[in-house]
Amino acid sequence: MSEDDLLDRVLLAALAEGALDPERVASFAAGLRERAQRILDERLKPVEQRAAAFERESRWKQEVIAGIEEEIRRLRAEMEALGREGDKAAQAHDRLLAHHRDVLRNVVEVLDALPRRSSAVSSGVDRLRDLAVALRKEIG
Amino acid sequence: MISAVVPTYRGAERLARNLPTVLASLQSSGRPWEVVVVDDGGGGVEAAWPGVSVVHLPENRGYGPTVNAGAAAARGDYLLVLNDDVRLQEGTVAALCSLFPDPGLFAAVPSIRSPLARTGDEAGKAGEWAAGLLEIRELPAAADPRPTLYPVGCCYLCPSALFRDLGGYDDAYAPFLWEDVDLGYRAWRRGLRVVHHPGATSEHEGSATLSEHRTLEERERIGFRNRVLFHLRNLQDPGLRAESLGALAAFALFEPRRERLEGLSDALAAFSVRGRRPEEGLSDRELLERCTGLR
Repeated sequence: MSEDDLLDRVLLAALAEGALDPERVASFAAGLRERAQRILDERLKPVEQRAAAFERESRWKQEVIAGIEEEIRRLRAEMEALGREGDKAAQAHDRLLAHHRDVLRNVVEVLDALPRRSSAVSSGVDRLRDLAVALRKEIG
Repeated sequence: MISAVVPTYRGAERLARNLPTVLASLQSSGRPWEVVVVDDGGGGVEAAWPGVSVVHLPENRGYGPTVNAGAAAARGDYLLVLNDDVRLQEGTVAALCSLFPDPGLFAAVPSIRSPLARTGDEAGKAGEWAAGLLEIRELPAAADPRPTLYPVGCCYLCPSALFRDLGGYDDAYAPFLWEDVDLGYRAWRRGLRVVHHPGATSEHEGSATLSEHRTLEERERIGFRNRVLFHLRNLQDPGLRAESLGALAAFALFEPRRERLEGLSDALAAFSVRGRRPEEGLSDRELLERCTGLR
């Protein structure tokens, strides 16, 4: 059974009943138009539902992507802040190191300038000097 | 005397589950009663309770012809038509009986609590004329008796004489669906009323026979066939018929579901054999206004 056959059968029934006569054809057309609208609306409904679901999913994905981008921005800012903190720490470390070198240089000079008195004192001064030299090597 | 007519198809277990509540409700009504179970060719059903007889049909004929066979065998002044998956409360039968005798009343339908009903009550039905067809919708819950479009086939009480006078169910709708709408429409056409009585309550397991033995596609095809046949058989108003035929043309042109197109084809074939009902009684427009304020 094709749709054409079915339509023919409906139209033949309509013809036999006078539904296509001039005084009734407007009613026939109204029934055809309004019912066709309902059937087409019903056919469209699943498509609209799929489109709406797709739109919802797309919106959700966009929200997820926006969230990830925000997280990346936050992590970058955090990394930059950490980098700045690292620079500050390195500078402070360098300053402290320079200060320690100065102190040690002064110690060595003072020790070198000391007159030799007793062998006990002398050996103590030597040990201090060796220690100072070793520390200088150690801290560059 | 009240004759409960219970069509069944392979429903021995459903009867065992539900029929005792029907017997108790009949007994509680204080009226003489009998129960006629009609085995619709499925076999396996016996008269296992006092007051219950069984009519065996030799083959499966469907709901309408089965109820008609039960009504023909019934001796009561009133018919209580019941599905085998309906349970009654003790006072249900008495509450339905309280609306009779009333010469203008064809049938009284109790509240039918059902998982099938969106409102929870399957019984209250309104009709709306829309886009060339009668659309049926459930009425919201109500406290008092009110008109309803048709006696839902799963449970109602009516005078036997009126049921027979209307010709019972039209077997053109066999095996099932829309025969009850057709019966109610014919009753309204005669100027009789159908009433939904929320004070009487029943419970419906939910089209058990249909869902157990028919596929969804079969039900869709048969339901659509009968929906179309109802309009072709019953509408008398030339304008409404023309609208309805226009709607059928729209189905032929645009309907995508195969089951519906097959149903439409079946309906046209059945109509060519059965034809229209003779014109009598109220016009369609009067009838629709009277029963549910349609159109």
